[in-house]
Amino acid sequence: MNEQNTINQTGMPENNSMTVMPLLQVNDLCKRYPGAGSYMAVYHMSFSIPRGRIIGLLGPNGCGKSTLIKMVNGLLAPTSGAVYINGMVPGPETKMVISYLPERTYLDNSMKVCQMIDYFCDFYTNFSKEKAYYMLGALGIDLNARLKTLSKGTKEKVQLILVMSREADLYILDEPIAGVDPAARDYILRAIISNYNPNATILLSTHLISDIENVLDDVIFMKNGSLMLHASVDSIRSQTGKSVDAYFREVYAC
Amino acid sequence: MLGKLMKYEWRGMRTPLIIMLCILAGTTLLTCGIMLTINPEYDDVLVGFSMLTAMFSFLLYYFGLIGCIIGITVIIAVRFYKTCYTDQGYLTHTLPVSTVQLLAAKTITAVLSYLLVLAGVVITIVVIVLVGTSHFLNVGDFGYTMQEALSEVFGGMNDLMIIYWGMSFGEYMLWMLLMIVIECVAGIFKLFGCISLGQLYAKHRILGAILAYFVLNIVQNMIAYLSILPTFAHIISAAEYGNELTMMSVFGPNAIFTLLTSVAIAVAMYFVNLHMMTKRLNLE
Repeated sequence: MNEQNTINQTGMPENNSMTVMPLLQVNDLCKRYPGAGSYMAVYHMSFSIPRGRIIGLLGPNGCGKSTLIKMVNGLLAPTSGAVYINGMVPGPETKMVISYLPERTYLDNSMKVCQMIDYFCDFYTNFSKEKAYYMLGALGIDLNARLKTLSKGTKEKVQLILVMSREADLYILDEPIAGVDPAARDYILRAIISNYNPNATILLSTHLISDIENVLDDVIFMKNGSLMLHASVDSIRSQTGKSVDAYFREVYAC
Repeated sequence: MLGKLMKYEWRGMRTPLIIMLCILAGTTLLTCGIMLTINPEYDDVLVGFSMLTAMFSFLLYYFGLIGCIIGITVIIAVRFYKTCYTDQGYLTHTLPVSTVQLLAAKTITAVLSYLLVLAGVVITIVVIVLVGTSHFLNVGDFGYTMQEALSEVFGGMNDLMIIYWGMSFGEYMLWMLLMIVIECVAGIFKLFGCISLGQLYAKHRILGAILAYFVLNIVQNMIAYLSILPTFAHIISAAEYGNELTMMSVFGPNAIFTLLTSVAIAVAMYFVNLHMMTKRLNLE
């Protein structure tokens, strides 16, 4: 918490206006899983995120990143505290403006790629079919291929394309580059940046910081379920004289 | 959004449902085929063999029927579990729809699939009865057409129903239809509710669901057993006084109580599902 106070006492990157309603607001959020005793997966987290930023949600494994993301997406109910997206608690309206890429492949293997596109098009009014077709075409993915016939890496790319083909307000990408080869990693980062809408925000969870550091505007460090730091990448570099990756290694040194 | 959800639910259910109906149709055809190999003119020496063949054909149909009903139940359960509580749940629960809509779409599609299989069962039974009747009983020998013979049979059944059941054949069929639909809807709610309850056992979700289903069935059967005791008392006292009772006056109140119990369990399971999907959702 000292680090947070040193770099940013408000818990917000300095270049954002506090008068505008934040895109994502997390208030004193706690999560305790049933059967986990007194262990809190997320412990009294509070922060807010404005529009137009690419934010890295960083921390070691088991620090509560995915739990936090699930609560924002309405996939987990908080034990206490609240999450607001555009001022609304998670529900059908917020799910329409959040485009979420989980760390797992959630596609129905029995469906074809084109059927999956129709599925997204049917449910999300902000889904761009043209964008999806263009991105799939660029990768040479057969629209008539059944998902079960595709490799794990290709399925992940299809899933990313589906997520990034939406004109969402908030993109939440949970470990999008974990477990993929360097070439695929480059493609994923390119896809994220090239589809970035300046009015939207991308919240990107990872522990592979060196790969994404250059695309980030802000970072959120989490440790043991708590917010450790919320600052802009520039302020970290200027105040510590280190890259975010080097600073992360220092903070989380075992 | 409900229509869209149902569209994709139906797409997911369509293929296994068609397979189930094809199995049912196949066993019906086989049953009818085997029945037709029996020569009704056989002499006594071959009667035993013919009887054995007939029994085999009915057993074949029976297993096909049981297989289809269990099969569709398993398919519905697996689809619900897969789309709500495995990796696919990440997509299902991030769709811009309410949990009520999600549950409604899954329940309506499952009930319709179940009813389709039941309709298939009714149709195949009618086919087997008609094939058997026309093969073994040559109604023409009695001076009847098949239509006349059927109307005679149903007319007789109607009279017997009024005497013994206290209601006409048509009323009885309506009553049965109502019971089937209510039990079908309640059964689906119970199935889904138990699968959701199984999620409380984070390490053994499927086992938890099966356990919840068995426990709930045991409780429901115990309630049914206790509720039928006054019916038996009623029969005994009526017999003592030499009163003649119709089946409906004896079992009617109990059947209504059983239906109400099913409705109560269905409502409870609906709220269990809602609670589990909103407050206790915990995808792996």
